[in-house]
Amino acid sequence: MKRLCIVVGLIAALVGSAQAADLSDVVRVAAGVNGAWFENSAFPADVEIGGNAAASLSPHISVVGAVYYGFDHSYFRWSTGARITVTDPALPNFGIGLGAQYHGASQADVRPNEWAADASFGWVPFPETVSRLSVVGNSSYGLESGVVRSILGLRWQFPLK
Amino acid sequence: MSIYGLLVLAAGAPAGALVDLLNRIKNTVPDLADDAQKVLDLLAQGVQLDNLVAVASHLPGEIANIAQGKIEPGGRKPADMA
Repeated sequence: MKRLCIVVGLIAALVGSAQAADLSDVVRVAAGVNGAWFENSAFPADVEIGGNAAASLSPHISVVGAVYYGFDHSYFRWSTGARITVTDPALPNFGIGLGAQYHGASQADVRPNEWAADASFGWVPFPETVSRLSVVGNSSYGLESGVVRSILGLRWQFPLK
Repeated sequence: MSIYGLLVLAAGAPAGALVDLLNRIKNTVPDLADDAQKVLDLLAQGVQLDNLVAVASHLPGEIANIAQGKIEPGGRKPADMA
């Protein structure tokens, strides 16, 4: 949690001092619901609800973070880190990202505190009618635990202006 | 199709199951077939090595700009919300 607060503060300072960038173009927030998989389970191990935030600092580089609550196992988890968009960043409705985040959770057996490398995608399936809705997925590999965890979910983005 | 049903379709879902999910969408929701195929094509394009090398070539300049406080956010980047 201390790391999360430090990162959030650094992001706020950096974004606050940004030159020639509208804040609403830089920062994005969304509410979300996920199915969560812990390693090789066939069905989702849990259903999560929570939110994401991201600050797009350059065409390919963003700082990202998330906080979610898992209903079945009754846990909170959070993550923060950096993501590099490896598809054309000008594509508004689809993207793939590679990055790394520091993860933590209220239950260590659900999500130990560790750095994890991750791959993610985002897809806006109905850009003309429901442009705020996206389908997202993320798989992360814990660098200490060696455990793969994945989520597949929906996001509803909120406008900041 | 319920949200949970959509998630269950991706049974066993790490990133690789996205392809299976999109193929299921293509086969069961004809209106989304073209869009799903476009996503599959972009997915295949995105993970190619030459594309990754091209992306990496942009990073030093972008990191330098960020360090100087020059924020250029770029596009929507849907993957940021994952």
